[in-house]
Amino acid sequence: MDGHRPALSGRTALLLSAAPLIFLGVFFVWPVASIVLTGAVGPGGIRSSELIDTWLSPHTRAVVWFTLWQAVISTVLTVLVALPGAYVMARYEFRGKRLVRALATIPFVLPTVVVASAFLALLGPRSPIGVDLAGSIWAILLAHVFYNYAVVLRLVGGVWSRLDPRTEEAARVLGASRWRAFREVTLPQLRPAIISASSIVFLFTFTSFGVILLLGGQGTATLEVDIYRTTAELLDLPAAAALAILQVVGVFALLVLYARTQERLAVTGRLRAAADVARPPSGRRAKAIVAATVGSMLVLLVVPLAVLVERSFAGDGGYSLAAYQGLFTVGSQSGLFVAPIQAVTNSLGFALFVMLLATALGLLAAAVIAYRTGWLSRGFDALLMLPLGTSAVTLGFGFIVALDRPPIDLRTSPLLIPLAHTLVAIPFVVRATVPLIRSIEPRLREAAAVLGASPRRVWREIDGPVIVRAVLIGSGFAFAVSLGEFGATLFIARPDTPTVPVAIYRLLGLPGTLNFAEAMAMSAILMVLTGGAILVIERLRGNEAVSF
Amino acid sequence: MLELVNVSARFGDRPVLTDIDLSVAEGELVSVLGPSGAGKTTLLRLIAGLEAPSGGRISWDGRDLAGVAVHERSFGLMFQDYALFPHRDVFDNVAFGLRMRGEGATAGAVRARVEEVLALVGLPGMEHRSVDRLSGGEQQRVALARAIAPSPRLLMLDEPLGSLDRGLRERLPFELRSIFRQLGLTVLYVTHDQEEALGVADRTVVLHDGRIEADAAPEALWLTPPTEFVARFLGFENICLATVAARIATTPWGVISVSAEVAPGRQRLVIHPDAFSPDPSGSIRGTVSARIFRGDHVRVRLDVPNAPPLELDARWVPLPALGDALTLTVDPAGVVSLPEAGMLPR
Repeated sequence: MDGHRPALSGRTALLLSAAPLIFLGVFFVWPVASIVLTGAVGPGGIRSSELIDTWLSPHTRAVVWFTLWQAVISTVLTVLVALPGAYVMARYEFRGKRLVRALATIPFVLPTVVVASAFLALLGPRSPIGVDLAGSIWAILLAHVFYNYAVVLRLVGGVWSRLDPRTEEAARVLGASRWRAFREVTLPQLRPAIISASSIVFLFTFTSFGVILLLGGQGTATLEVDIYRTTAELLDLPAAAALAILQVVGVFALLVLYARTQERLAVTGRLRAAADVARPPSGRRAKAIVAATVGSMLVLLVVPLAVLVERSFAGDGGYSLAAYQGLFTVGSQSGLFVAPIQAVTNSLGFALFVMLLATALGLLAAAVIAYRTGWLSRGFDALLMLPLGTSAVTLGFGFIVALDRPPIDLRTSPLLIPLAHTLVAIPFVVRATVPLIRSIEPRLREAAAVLGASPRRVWREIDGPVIVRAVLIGSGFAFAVSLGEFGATLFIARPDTPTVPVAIYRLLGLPGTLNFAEAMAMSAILMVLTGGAILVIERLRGNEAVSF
Repeated sequence: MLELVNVSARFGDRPVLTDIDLSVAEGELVSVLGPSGAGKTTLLRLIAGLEAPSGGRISWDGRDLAGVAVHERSFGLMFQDYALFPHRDVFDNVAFGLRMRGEGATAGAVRARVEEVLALVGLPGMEHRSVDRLSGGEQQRVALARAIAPSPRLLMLDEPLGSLDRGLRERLPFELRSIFRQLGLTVLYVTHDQEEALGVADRTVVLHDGRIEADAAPEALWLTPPTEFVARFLGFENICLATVAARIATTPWGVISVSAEVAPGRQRLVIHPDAFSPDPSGSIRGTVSARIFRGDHVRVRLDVPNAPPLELDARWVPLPALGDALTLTVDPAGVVSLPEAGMLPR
């Protein structure tokens, strides 16, 4: 029945996928393989006993334990906090709803460093409300809820808004109480979405790096943070590699588990268009629920960012622009070798490069995935997602062990950072474009053909405009990802070419109110840049659902 | 002239259309009627070239269409649910076919034609509306305008009124017919609704399980349905086996007279629901067990002892009430026999 989906011949598909495949081979497979070699093979052959010693040491066990339980608690908290929001957004129509939805999405797209800075500003030693939770688990959990709120809100809320409310009404008419109807009718229909959102939040918090590095104390290290410290502070590459192997295996196990549950949990139930479902709140009870939920959402989501901006203006003697002026000078005690503003220039330059390269490679891959069916398309799709699953720190670590000696010696090359960013950005480009291309109804192509359009013309008239939009959206994502990337960059950035997130991290490590304010100022700048890119993407996307 | 000879289609192992013979002359308006799953949409897709037949020959004016690509056939197809291009406005949707076909057409000519066609379908001045802001009826008109704008040599419509509400469904066939006539179009019109199929066309083809079950003028189809399937699909419920001799038929409901058209012997008879009238000397007696008010008549279900219930339309006064005992006679003109085999002689 699908006669008019333009199919790529096997040869064309192979030709198109060559460039992304080579890129992936050199900059992903080779570094990861190098980590395994570094960790598992020593001068005396396979270092099995050293590997097992590292994995079973009390230190590693403590780290793994912490990584797991903080991820579980973060996930449960996020779901509990976000469910009321998902309900209100799905079922009620109210003034400013679009704005609230956009605001709620912002934290998720912000770089981790900005989120960490915001919570450091709000709940750190310089807190304007006098609460210092820095170094404790509470700041980390709060930041994780803040960061992942949008995942639950959009995934669960999206399904909720398309559930036929009449099923719940039918249960009520049949005698179920409000709670009973929710538990027995609505909740089972939401379960797949909740499980799917929880898995994503768990994965994100399991691999959390920036938030924990900036907000945590000595006792709070995830595997990610521990890999970084073992490399950068203890300079013990084999031990770090052993940890990285553990991390890679753990993440892949989670991804496989996730894919399995996704298959089992195909959403059943009748879905309706969202527009039919949402109603203005009527009655005091409904209005109170909407007001309370939206109010607390705004407090959770807006206050940390507002305090971040406020702190960037706060100096020792009241509010001033000193921090922003300071960005242009190489501070005497600054740990940066350049003026902080140089980091902004670096980041923008890298982001532009990544935008071009990741969009080009990502589109080639997306074309193969969207226009081919069968194992080639599916396998390629899965392969491209791997860098996203692999933690950023592992990628950065892999770059260091693999690409700093012949045959590929990029240690001193300014390309190292944008290449790593491209690797992380490609999955985003592919995820953003494939559904768009696939969403073109075959019947539209048929309609064009019947009206006299040749196959080439059909492609130009029907696929063309969609692909142009996909390119723009993909580049926006690549740009934003590059701006915010922290974990890999921290490994490979040289002291004289910091990116904005790296500069923020370095500034936070320095004493003094001004350095702190400068870090906040840089965070504010990064927030605005990323926010701008995301706004452009959202405008172009229209109402399409988010996919991860 | 469109001609299908022995055309078959299958999806995998499942036959969808079997041995279809069909011709549509220039300027003719043919409807294809059948329940869902009968193969109606596939028939249109074969003719448009969107699917390839598994056997047989489809030709236009004697020229085989097998090697002719979809976009070179100059046919129009109005899709079920329209398939309007969502990223283009009304003007660009309607102009699409003109741009594809008339490479030499000037922008002015395209504009004039779009305006003309939009006026014809009753949407003047709607050029720059976005298509997803239109109501169902408006989308239907834009889809029609898009299909007829390039003056296709054959216009095919797939359930064009399917997703519209009842009011529009009853009004639009008039408009469609007058537009088809005005443009002198050759039309193949697919629907599952018998009133629509009989009302809009010069000739109706009934499809059943991928085969043509009837091919006749609407009046002929209605008055003398060729098979039991067609009779039931047209809404006739009073079908029985009867013994006919000397223009008298013995049916389970009673003894009735029939016209000379009904041959003697064992016959399958259909009695039209409006062939009944009250008559104290009639041979059919029963009790009203259900009634549906339909404005100008009442549809009555009459329970007859030792026989299946009859369905009849009472147009007399006083209207029969529930529980009434009726004694009826049957107008011989309203009784027809079904040929034994499926096909109506052509």
